[in-house]
Amino acid sequence: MSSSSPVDSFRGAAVLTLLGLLVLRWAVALHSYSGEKRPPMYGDYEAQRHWMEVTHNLPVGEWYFNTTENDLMYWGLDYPPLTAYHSKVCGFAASLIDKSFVALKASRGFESYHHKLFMRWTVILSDLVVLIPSVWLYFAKRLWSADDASLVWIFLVLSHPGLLLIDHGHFQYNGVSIGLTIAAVAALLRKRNLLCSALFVLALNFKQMSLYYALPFFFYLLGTSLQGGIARGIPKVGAIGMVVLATFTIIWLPFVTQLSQLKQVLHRLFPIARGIFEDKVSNIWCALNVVYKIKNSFSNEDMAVVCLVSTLVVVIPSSLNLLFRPHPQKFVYSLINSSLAFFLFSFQVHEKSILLAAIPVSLILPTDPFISMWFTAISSFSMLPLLLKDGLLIPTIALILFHIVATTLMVNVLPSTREKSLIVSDQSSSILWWWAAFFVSMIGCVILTLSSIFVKPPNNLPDLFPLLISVYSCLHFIIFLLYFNYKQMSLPGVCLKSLSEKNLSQAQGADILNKHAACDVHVTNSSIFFPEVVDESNGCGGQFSVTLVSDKFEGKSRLQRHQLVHSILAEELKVIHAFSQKTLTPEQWETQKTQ
Amino acid sequence: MRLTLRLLRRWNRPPYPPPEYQIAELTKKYANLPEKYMEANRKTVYHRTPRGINYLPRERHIFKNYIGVHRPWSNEHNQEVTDADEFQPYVNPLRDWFFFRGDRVQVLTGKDNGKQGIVEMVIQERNWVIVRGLNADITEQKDEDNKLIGYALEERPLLVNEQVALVDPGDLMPTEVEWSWTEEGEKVRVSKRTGRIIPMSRRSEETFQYKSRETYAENEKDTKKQDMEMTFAPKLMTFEMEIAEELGIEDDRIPKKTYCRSTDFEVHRNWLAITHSLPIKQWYTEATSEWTLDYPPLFAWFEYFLSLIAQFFDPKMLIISNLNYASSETILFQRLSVIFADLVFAYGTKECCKYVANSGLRKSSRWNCRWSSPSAMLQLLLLGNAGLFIVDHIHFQYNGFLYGIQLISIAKILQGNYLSGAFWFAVLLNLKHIYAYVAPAYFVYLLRNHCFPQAPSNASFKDLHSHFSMKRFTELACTVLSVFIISFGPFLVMNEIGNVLNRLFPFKRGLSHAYWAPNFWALYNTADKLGSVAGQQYNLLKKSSNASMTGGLVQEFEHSLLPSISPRITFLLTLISIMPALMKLWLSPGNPLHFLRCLVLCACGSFMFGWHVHEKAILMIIIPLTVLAVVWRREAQIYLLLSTVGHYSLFPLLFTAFELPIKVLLFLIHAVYAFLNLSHLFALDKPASSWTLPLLNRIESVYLVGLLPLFLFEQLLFPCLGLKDRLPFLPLMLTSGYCALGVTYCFVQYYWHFMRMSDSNHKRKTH
Repeated sequence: MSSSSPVDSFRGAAVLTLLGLLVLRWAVALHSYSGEKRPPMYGDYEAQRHWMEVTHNLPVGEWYFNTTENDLMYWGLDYPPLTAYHSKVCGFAASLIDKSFVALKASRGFESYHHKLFMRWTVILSDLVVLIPSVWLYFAKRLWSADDASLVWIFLVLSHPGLLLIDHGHFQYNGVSIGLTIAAVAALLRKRNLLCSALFVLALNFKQMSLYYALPFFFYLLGTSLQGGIARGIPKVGAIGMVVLATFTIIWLPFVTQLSQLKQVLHRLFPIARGIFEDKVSNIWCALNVVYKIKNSFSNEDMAVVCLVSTLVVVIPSSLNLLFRPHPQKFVYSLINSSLAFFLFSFQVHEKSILLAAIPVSLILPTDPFISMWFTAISSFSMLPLLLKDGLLIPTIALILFHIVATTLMVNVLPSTREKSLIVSDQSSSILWWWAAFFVSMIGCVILTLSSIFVKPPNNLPDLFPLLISVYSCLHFIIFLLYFNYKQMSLPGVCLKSLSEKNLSQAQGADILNKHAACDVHVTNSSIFFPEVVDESNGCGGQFSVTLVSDKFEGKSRLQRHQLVHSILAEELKVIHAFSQKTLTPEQWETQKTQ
Repeated sequence: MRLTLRLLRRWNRPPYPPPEYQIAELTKKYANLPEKYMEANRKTVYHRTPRGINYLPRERHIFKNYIGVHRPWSNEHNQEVTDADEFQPYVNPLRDWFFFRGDRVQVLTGKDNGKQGIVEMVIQERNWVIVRGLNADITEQKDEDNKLIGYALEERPLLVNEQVALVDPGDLMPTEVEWSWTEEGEKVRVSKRTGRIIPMSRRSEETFQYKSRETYAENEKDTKKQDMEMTFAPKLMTFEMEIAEELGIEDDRIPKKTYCRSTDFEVHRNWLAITHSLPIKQWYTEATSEWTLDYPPLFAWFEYFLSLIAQFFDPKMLIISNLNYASSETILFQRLSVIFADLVFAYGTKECCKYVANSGLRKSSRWNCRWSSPSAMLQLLLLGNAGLFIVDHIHFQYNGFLYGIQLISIAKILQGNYLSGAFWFAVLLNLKHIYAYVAPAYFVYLLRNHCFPQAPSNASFKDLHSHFSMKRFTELACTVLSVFIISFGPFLVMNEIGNVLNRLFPFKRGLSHAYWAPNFWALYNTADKLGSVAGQQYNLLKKSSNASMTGGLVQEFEHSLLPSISPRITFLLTLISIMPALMKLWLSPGNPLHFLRCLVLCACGSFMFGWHVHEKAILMIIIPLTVLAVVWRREAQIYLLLSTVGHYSLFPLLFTAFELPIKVLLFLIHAVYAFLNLSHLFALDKPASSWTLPLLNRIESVYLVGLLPLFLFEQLLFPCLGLKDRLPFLPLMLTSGYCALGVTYCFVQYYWHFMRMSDSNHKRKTH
């Protein structure tokens, strides 16, 4: 093993990242899980174990039915088939280790040292197989290598406090569905539309909550497919539709044989009767419930319609924006907007569902580290009542602090981001304001945390602090929703490709390039301008030769200049197949002009 | 589709009939017979696993299908099944069932089309009803000789979904019906056409045994009505919880965490209790627990201050008689106290890094790199030391705090601030007396450099005499002595000093700890053991009683082949081993790095030859060596080898399945980081060959990689081979033996390196 070549030092850094992630995971896993030693219903841990028991022992046809062997009132299966298959695999493994882990009916409420060990290993392995590779795919430029910066992003995203605590502490398999979604996003950004749709369908079939992302995926795929004209787009859309249908069919194969099966499964997946929210959730309805008791005036069915309409109203602007101006960065923002809107407005929301919004937010760490860090902290904080109940207070505090410290440290240190401070704006006074706001918000969190630990609530308001926490977080989420919507709208959603198709003049092309550069934070305060943009592609939009002039090139070799330009235009260069550039400093440009 | 179903279904069928073979609800109600009886009547069992506990109870059987109009428990039914052979009736599944005995229905087909009648029998299994007198055939009745004896009217069944319809009681016309609820919550059938309720006939409750419930005469063997009454209210509790609530028993047990705690938790809790609740005089005489206070007085004071905070967490832990008390608050407090005491370690690290960063010990192009400058690396290597994590935060001790103070004293001496260095070291000695092992290095260095300020480096003893500065010597002595007086003074005054010293220096323990620390004696013991086994094999030695030395639990054992070791010998060996290094230190004044090297060698010598050395003492070598490792290449090599082996040798401290991953991960993180960055720092362009680890030669690499098979053997192979009963301590012996080889190698190499170094091999940047 040699050590000095860049490849090897990269390999070492990657190994270190992976080991760090595993240590964090295992450290959380040492703590208690939901419902530990709390009969008769226990918690999510028991639910997962029970599903393993049911799927391992009963034939497929009975998984979703109430039979003598399968009591749906005791943690009946209410996730789509892929979860059930996953449980079956885990249940099979469990039966190999110890039959009593999954003995039908006899194993209810089974808890033991080795069983906990087994369950913790299953989550870690699921993470290793699905989540970590997909985040890697998202950030790494190539399949087998990544620079230091992307390793940092990978580490920060995967050490998301909420995800770690819910998956490895509270106990669930969110990492799988989120990992599949991220893999779908990565595939989409690499223009593998078919692969993306298949992966997203898989995510959808692991947890129906992935529906939160369905609209952005749909509109982005539609938008990019139809970009070259409707006639050219329809076969592409058809192909995507076929892939989606085929994936669905394969997964649902055992259930589509009988109509009653299908209906029962769907009924289990979307339980209207369970009410508008579970426990105390930091969404609009729970906050509204403080002043106006919704249950008294609306039935569950009415409320479901109200929720649907309000969610759609909030999601539509970002979706339409994505449809008409599809752009990769917009797409990621739209994922946030959609999932956050669903969390705030939709029906039957769990407090854990905030993870679905929090993970896409952490994907924008490279462009917007400050807001992302803030959102991560608040989203993890919003789950505090749940984590407190599970006895996970200490890891919660430790992980949130760790995440904040790690983000600030690493972002300030990274060479690629050193120029852009933690905040997008370059004025020092506004940085101060941002930090002040952040600290005020964090102090609120600290006060609420301390009071919910130490202060005993009054007798007539036993849920005072959970409610306060959810309202406090809800306010944050509403502001974040507005901010992310604004961010999405303000991005110029024009790809270079569409530029040539509309046969723009050179001047307009340069204008768009300029705008693009302006929105890119790297070059905000330097003056790149484009004296010449020549489209050599005869209208297909794949060939450009550009002359770039900037004072940023001062004192850099030609290679470094080219690298700088490439790093800025990385996204666009995937579409373009020929891009020749002349990079000049202002002096060189002057002398060239005079010649 | 059938294939997938079959693949996913478990190959042994569940022991109850599939839906198409089940007996319908109405039939069961009518029968009023035990369900088990009906099941048994309807199936033929070919094979069944014998009674008793079976993991997979199995049964091979076939169910008889419902063929005709006869009830499943009757003989005629059996006849029908036999006659029908393989016939599989097709039954259209219905969503709702509306037809009951006694209902008035109209026939919609056949010769009786339009006639109304009363439902006589319901056969839900095949969607049939039989209407009295309608849709009937006239059959001939014959006797045995086939002689006609009469005619009988035999009704044929009618399909409910197409051949009959219920009659609306209002206009007596056939109608469609649906199920609905009355305001009282009763479920009723309602005519879709007129909305009238179609009442249930009283005959619908008729069964095999009685016409109506009221007329039923109770039998002697029937279950009495009062026995059927529900006398309990269901609760969301287990049986045990309900009983406990009934009897007012409150469960105040603390559920055990799934990871185990070491005895050191109890040790330190006991010390907290002693210092908190007893006067100073009794601190060293109290002996309720077996874990008596055996650290010097300053540490007792440290525990006392902790106990002042501890009472806010859980006052119960401060009661001496509360042995093995471990509430979650206690654990939390103890863990937090270690974490906060580690701030001292962080401060010590900072001081050392400051020295490394500012003194210009060595030229390097990386001084300004934020993450890969030597000082940054030192910081990460010290703070991320895997051994400290394992010993302090998982196993539980306050080593981080103590090493922090040692680092402060080292930093002070490196910076030339000898007095405060001596002060901090005196404090350290009074916190834990194991540091007396490294005191000679401090003593020699301070004496030579502080008390003989102007002496030239090559001065003879006579010349030195003239340079002796009494003033400086008194300063130094006063500093150190004052610390000792503050610490031991109160006990001197109270005439308790004898007890204190007894507690501090117990020589009752054996040569090696239960788990042999990887030092010279581990090798010695191993050799002795192997020798005695070989001797017994060839009958050279007579079988002795202490042959079970691998038992390891025995703290004191006699060597059977090699001579036994007394404390005096170990002391002598330790002294001999550190003498050359001390001489060298004396002869090369003015070089603080030599002091650090000598410190490392003193720790090493005492670790190698000391009496009853704990495996944790390896950190006493590794931590000072870290400071040198980021400066000189040779020391980096020794550090890589020694830290990897040393941390590995700490593995047996944690042995549960939950701690296994975390100790391995911490170990790997530290090792990978150290190898990666140290080799990067010393700008290794080419490794010796592609098969060696960076900075190490081939043998050392092979040795380190050999840890992997050793680990795998202990974790996987050893439990599989079933040696656990015969040789339970084999893995421990292997680990300590293997690690002892590495540690000894490092010791010899480093000693050789130090002795050969020039006296002032210590480049300073010209200021």
